Amino acid sequence: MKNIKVIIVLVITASATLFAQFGSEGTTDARRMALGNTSNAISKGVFSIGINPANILNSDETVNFSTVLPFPNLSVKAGTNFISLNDFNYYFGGNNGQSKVLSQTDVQNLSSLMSGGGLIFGNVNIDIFSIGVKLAPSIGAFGLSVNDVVSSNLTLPSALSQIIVNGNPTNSTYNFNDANASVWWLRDYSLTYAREIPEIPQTVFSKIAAGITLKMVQGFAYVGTQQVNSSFSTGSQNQLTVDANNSFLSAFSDNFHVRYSYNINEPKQNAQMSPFPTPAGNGFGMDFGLSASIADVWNFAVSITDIGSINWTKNTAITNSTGQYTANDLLDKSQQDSLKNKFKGTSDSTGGFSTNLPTALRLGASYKFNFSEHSWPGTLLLAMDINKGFNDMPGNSTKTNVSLGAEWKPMDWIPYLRTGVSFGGLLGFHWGVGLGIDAGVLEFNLSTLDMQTLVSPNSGKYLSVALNSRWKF
Amino acid sequence: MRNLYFYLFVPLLIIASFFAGCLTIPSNPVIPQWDVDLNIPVVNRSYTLSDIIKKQNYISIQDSGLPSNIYLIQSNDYSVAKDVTSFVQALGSQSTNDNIVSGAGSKTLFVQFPGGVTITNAVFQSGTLTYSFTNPSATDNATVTLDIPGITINGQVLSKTIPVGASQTAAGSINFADAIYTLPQNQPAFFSNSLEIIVGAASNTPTVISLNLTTNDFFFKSATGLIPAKSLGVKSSSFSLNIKNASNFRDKIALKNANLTLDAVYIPAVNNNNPFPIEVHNLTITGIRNDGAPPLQLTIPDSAKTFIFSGANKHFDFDASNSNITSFISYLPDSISVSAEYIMNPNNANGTVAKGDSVKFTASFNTTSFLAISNSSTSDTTSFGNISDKDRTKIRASQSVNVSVNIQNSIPLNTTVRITILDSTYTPLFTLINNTTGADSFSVAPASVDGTGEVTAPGSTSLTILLDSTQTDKFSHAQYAVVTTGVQTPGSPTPVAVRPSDAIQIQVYGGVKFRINNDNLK
Repeated sequence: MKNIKVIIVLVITASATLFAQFGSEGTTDARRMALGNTSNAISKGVFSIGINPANILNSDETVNFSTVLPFPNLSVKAGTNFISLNDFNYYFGGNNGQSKVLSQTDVQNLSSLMSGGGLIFGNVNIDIFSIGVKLAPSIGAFGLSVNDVVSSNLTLPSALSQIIVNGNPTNSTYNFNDANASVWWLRDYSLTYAREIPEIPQTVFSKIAAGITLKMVQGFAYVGTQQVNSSFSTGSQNQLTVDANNSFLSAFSDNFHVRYSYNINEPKQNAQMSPFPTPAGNGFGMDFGLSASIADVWNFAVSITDIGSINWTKNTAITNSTGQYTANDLLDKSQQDSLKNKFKGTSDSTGGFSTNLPTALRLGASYKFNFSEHSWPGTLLLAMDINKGFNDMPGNSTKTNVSLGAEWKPMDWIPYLRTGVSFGGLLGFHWGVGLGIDAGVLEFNLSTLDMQTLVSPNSGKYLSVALNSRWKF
Repeated sequence: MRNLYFYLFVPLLIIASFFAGCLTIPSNPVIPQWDVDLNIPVVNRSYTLSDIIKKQNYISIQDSGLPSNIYLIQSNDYSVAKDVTSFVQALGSQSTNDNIVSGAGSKTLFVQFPGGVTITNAVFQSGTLTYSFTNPSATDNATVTLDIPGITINGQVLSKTIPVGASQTAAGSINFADAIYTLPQNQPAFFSNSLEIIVGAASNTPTVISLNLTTNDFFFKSATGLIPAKSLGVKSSSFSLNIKNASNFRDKIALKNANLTLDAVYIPAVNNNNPFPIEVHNLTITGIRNDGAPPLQLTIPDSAKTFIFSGANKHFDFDASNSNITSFISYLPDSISVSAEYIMNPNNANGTVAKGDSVKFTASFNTTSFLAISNSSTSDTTSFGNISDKDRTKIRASQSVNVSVNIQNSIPLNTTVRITILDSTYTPLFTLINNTTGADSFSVAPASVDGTGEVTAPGSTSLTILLDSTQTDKFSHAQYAVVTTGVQTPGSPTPVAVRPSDAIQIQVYGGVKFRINNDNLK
């Protein structure tokens, strides 16, 4: 497949920049990140879009919007779940610019870091513009958002750790079934509507609201494993056997000028990027959300986000490598080529395929403490989220993620102090921390999801920083 | 707003400073180096001899009548020719002295052909008839007329008038170049060995004129009749066999069968239905080596040493039953000399001969691939060709190499190989060691054979080669290899059958301790 460079660019870009709101593993804003990815019940205004559309009502102002000024809505998260920056420096930092020669112990340690495989992930979210308008309770609130997402998940097979140390011993078999890779670049144009529902007869909650977001989704690139079921064996006389049953789907915008094996004879052209590339796929998505509160102290929320799919129709291909091949004579050029082709596979035009959006269920609850002046200064907000994706599309995970967050406002002149922890999910434990400043018309938030990296940057496996601003009128 | 900016920028600055001070990100990440064992299959192939032996014009596959065919090694045709020019001539002279009375009519004389030939037809290339006429009359001149009815020149019967003055002698010669001779029909058979000449003379008064006629050195373009037996002399010719590297097998090879075919043929320059018989006398075929070894003569039956043939080809087949041909070919001469005396018309028969006629001998050898080789050895220097710098880097990256070789040999040849690696200046770097035996050579076991030399079971060989990092580093400088190969057939000197279908299966696999680093992953 000739689009490897494009994929690499996408993965690197996604790994180095922003984290998306798409999927159960996504973050929307700096406040959510500071609270350990907790905001289902407490998100506010335009920062509710993509989390729980009902919460767009949680704004004291009529109009709130977020744009690139004074600070862009920016959140950064990238990393791996197997190697820290210290380890990276140790192995890849070199010695005076020269490659580090690893001892046997070093190699064993490097292998053990990857013994369970390894996840390399990254996401990009660019909130180009979001605005929310809250009207009379009988009318409700409206929101509009334009959002770009680039997400990638790359799972290295656990067999890699054994290959690093042992190479390919005689009579060995390595299994690569746990390998996985997916990356996409999406843009959604979303319209949100939320309204309180006093018409529901009940006495438990003081307020119930419901919201819906409709999204028109454009896809500019997608590469994803459809199936990985392969092994690599070395026989008693070193014969190499590849048993493959792999398939990958891909689609690219015309702007990438990607060539597959089936159209390799077309003229080669460089990618021509623009702010508005030609979509390779189009889809439609919806978010539904409910929120309820009790006496402005308790808040409860439930939402299902990103219901829908994308139909990819431009420059689509399925790359397959199937069957078993044994090479016992590598001086035979045809065997070399057959072995390579078994790894690479061949691409065929599919005509089109569809992928689900990263549909996720989000549950949340929060309690707000209003302390008396002499018992505890300020206010304290505690919140808990449960997020679970229904698929493993980029930015999403079927592993349940539970998070707890706390936001304390000691007194007026002290910023919001926020912290939170997150368990489970794709990325495991995280400890977030952050600050929030509410200066009237402008709100500013700053956070990280990785307290360990903040305290000891080189020992962390993740890097995450988020900041944003929101205008309120 | 002043507080706002304080709140905004101070935390940012703190965090930025914190990360800038504590975060260590390598400016130029580089892949570390370590060794990893890579095991690969190198070769797994089966070669039949018909795959190995390239198609050559002197090797063919012969149906041996068995399930498997056999090779037939066929030499070129080696030819030697001897022209018969010296036979197509009659040298010497024959004279007749006589008298004739002028005015008394003509007189028929017969002057013998030189060389004792008797011819009925001939075309002269050259030759003369000299004459001398003496007129004793002191007063009368005379005229002598010569008519030679058997000779025509330019379509005219030869006739010549020669004046002889009083008391004079007239002498001269008549050139027969390009003349055609045909025995006159009325010439008596008794004088068929002579030239008929009709002489007449005229003068005013009868005078007795004395005459002398002499035939001298007739050279014919063609002649029919009886030319006496004549030896053309001993003719010796040699031809090179161009055996090249086969000379390495001298004194170490024995053949089970071989053939020499010899054809003698008379080649007329023009159509000839009645050529003269030819005796080939004391035919000798000798193999000659350039290394100074004593020549080896092919022993052939006496009937083949001296024989007479006429017209049709004379064909001989020499094999082990009537000659020492197997030893002769096993001798592997550089050249072969064929020598014989050629005697034309040994029994003085009638025939026809032309100047361009020749006698040609053609010899060719063949043998089948039933042979025995006893411990022969050859050495050759071969180049590795152009190994790229990139590949040499990867060779250097191999910290050690182990190679296992399994061979199933269905060819009845035991082969021993010794390989010495040389650099570009032909300086030896190291010699490959057989780690199975510790020897500096590798022996491939031959197939087993039965008493008739036929293969009964393949031979199995397993060996290993280990190269350490020093040797792999040296190998990265390799440019040439000296390959010394020893070959021996099992049970030598009993010949074995080497058949095109005989195969050798070679399986090579090995492990490399490969140095992973940035350069070697490119």
